[in-house]
Amino acid sequence: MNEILQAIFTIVIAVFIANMGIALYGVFSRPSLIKKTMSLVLFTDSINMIAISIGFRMLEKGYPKPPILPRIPETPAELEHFTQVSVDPLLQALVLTAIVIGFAINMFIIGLVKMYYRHYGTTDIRVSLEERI
Amino acid sequence: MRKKDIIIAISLAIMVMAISSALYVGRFIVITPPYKTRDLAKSFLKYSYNPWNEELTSYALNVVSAIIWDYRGLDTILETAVLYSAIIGITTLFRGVIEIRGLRHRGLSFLVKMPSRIIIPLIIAVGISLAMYGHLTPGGGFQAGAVATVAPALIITIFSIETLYALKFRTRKLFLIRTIAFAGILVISISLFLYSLVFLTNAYILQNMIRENSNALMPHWFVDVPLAGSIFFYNILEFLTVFAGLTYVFIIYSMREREVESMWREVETYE
Repeated sequence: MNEILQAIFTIVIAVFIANMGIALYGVFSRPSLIKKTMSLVLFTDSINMIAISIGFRMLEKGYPKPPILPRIPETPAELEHFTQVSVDPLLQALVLTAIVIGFAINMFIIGLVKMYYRHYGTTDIRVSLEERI
Repeated sequence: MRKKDIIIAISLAIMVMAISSALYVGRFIVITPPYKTRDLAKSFLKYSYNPWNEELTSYALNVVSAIIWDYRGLDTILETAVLYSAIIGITTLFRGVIEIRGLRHRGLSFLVKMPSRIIIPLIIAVGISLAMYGHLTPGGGFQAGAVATVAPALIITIFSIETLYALKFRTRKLFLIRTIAFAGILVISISLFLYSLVFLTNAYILQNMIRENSNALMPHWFVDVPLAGSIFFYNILEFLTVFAGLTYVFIIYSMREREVESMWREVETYE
């Protein structure tokens, strides 16, 4: 069972790294500002997913548990067992912070793109470059 | 232009290969997640709900909520401040927008409208329950707010922005709710400190449960449900902040041309 888990984990990490490459291609080389913003969101999300998967762990048998106590623990031994099977909660908390801040920045970027559209009548970045020359 | 595209694509492909090979080195093609967690993670898991060690616990069953609002509370308050200032930036960009009632609107067809009348209250109920039980089950303030904001977004797309105005959602009111809820978060973060000034005991800013040298604590038990002290109040207030803030942004971003025209006049007089 652990071999299947390893294979899936490897594929998922590879997919996220490839996703990062595709998203950066969108940011660098698409002329439309909307598509640049979408690629930027995709890039942040791929990095966040990699950060979460760092906190993943494996067990000798069975699957790891989410970092939430299923019920109120009654003995210290129950709590000890929970720490032995749960995944790392710290990365999830940090990624939540990163998501909120990325969200705020994206909201502001979309506002700027809307203003650009009202000013030039298009979201093509090359229009503003030509006008400057 | 085409040559530039090819160069960018090739260099990105090299970057992807480099990161992948750096991850795979010495691990025999497959990446194995570790069998042990770090000691820091273990201590968080151990003390999140631990009635046998009262000086380090926060009485929250959801460890992520405990980290976000108790152990690393200052981070989260500053993060809420970032979200708040982003919305202030949007307000400055779109200054002078006025809300006009009674423009012509139709919305989508009856087949879409009827199911969404049932779904929209359910979405809001799910959002509120995620906020209320954020310290016991998966969830929390920000997630709950993000879920509940789907409801106004659906109303704008399926019915019209007029429907949202008819439901008494105005930008001024939403901004006020947002500001009051954010101020509430700040007040709760210093409430135990103020309490200690009145009753002449020791307390810290952002304190939740009993800590070293301090006996002040927030309520942590409501009848037969753990309340996790300030985490519960923070979750509710964060839900209000995020819900009001995101609905405000949705309303501003779906303004119609007639409403935006006044913005340009305002900007011209300003300059």
